[in-house]
Amino acid sequence: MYILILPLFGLFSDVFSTFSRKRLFGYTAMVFATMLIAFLGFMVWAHHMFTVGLGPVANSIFAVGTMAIAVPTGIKIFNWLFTMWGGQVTINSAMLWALGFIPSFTIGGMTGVMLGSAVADYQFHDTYFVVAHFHYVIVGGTVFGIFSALHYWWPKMFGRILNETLGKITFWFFFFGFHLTFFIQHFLGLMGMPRRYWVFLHDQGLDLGNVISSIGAFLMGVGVVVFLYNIVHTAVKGEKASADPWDGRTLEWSVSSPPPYYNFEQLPLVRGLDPLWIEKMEGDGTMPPGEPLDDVHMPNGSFIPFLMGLGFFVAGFGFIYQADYTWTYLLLYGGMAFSIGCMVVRSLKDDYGYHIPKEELQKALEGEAK
Amino acid sequence: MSQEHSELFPDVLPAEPEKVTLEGQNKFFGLWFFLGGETVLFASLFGTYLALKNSTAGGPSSDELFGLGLVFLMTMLLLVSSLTSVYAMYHMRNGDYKKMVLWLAITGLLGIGFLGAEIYEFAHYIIEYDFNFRSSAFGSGFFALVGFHGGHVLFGICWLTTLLIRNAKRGLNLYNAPKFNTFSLYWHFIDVVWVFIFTVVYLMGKVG
Repeated sequence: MYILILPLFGLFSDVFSTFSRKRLFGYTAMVFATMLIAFLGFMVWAHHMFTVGLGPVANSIFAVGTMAIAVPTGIKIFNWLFTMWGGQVTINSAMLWALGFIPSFTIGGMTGVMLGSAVADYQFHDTYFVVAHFHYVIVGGTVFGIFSALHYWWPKMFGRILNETLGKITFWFFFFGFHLTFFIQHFLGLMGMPRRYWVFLHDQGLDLGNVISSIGAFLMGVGVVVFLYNIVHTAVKGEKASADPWDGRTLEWSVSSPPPYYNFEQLPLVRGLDPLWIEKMEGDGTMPPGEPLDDVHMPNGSFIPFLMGLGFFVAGFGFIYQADYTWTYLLLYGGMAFSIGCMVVRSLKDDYGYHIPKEELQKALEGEAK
Repeated sequence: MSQEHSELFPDVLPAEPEKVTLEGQNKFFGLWFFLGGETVLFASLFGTYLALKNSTAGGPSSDELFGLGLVFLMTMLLLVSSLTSVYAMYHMRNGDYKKMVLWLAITGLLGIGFLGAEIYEFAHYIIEYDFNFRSSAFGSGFFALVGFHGGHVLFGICWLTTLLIRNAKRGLNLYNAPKFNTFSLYWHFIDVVWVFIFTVVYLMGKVG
């Protein structure tokens, strides 16, 4: 869970500061909170198994550890709120997803503390309450974050801005559908509906809640379809993005959209946090070079890492099914042999990379200056 | 080798040829990250082993199985191979390719010796004691931990062989020096893990 949400926490810090036109509130505290969550997140895994009989000592330790994570997470939530406090807030699609994230994820965090209490977990365990909880953190946190990231960085990745109207329609359908689907599942769980069943008994008082949940799911589906349409629409006749469509604060907005394949002709001189914003306020709005113009050494493209991953992927199925089917040893040994063969090829074949000549970079720089 | 990479093949090698290029520094850095991941992996295998070591399911216990004589021999083989890889790196920094290859070859032979002894040990347990991966939880823990280490030794030997064959005829340069250096670092790590296995599995298996 924590490893899913931490990258998106970074994104939210970017989105909130960019669209509030303020630097991130409590940057140092944010970094410490991230590290603390990463550290604690590795040692709370037994909170999934409070009811298996670990004993009171282990249960207590893991319960306290789990609830402790709420502290750094709370620090982050408040810092994001304080980032917006007094800022010039722009509300567009990317920011909507980020704003929607705060209440949704906080609800998920609260039910997380409830589940983290080992005593109460004996009631909640394996009910729809758990389903509701983890969808609030994973959808309300990670999926909202991914949508926010897509709207924020789409122009940087593909050179075209996603359509704002369609983006807002996506958000409202999805946001409304999401809460309709999962909020009621808390109550279904408390009423005793177990998880991991694809049908439930009728006339147990669970029917209405499940119908409401299904309606919400369809609304989320509509939101996703609108988003997919938005991608096609943008690719065909979307607005061309400038290098810096959001009046950004960080380095990626100082290069063209999409960026050149070598990213920077010269490493930029970074004078502090939010380096591009510093140059906008105190410099001429462009990043000054931090090194003289010289040839750039680049690695060659290669398919080998992908092929290695493919071999391990196939071998993974062999490892899982070898206990039941003898023929899957073929996958196991075949996949491993293929991956190791790829490593040998990579070791035997010299790969010096190549240089982009200075002259080409000079030309690119002059093109930008015009 | 094209003209534009001539900087990788100087006539006189610098003092630390493995750390001159950015590529070399990145390899060094990357391998440390890899070893960090490996440490966590082996730590979990150690934890599993310690939790399961008394669950013998009526089969032989660690005290009945282990013979410290063979394990001492294996420990010596691996510790000496770590020392010989240090000699190899010493000669690499002096730009003496032939001596480096010699010491690396000795390292590889010691590794093969270790692996042979380990295969003999495993076969002994499996055939004489009917003690294998599926015979008890202790067996699963033992073969997962020690076998995984053995797999790392095997991988290291294959890695070293590939390196030696590939570079047999072209001497030392700034392109391949980092490759030898990362291998040496990996080999030290395998050695350190074995020191822990020797202590935690074999010595502690004998006394308690």
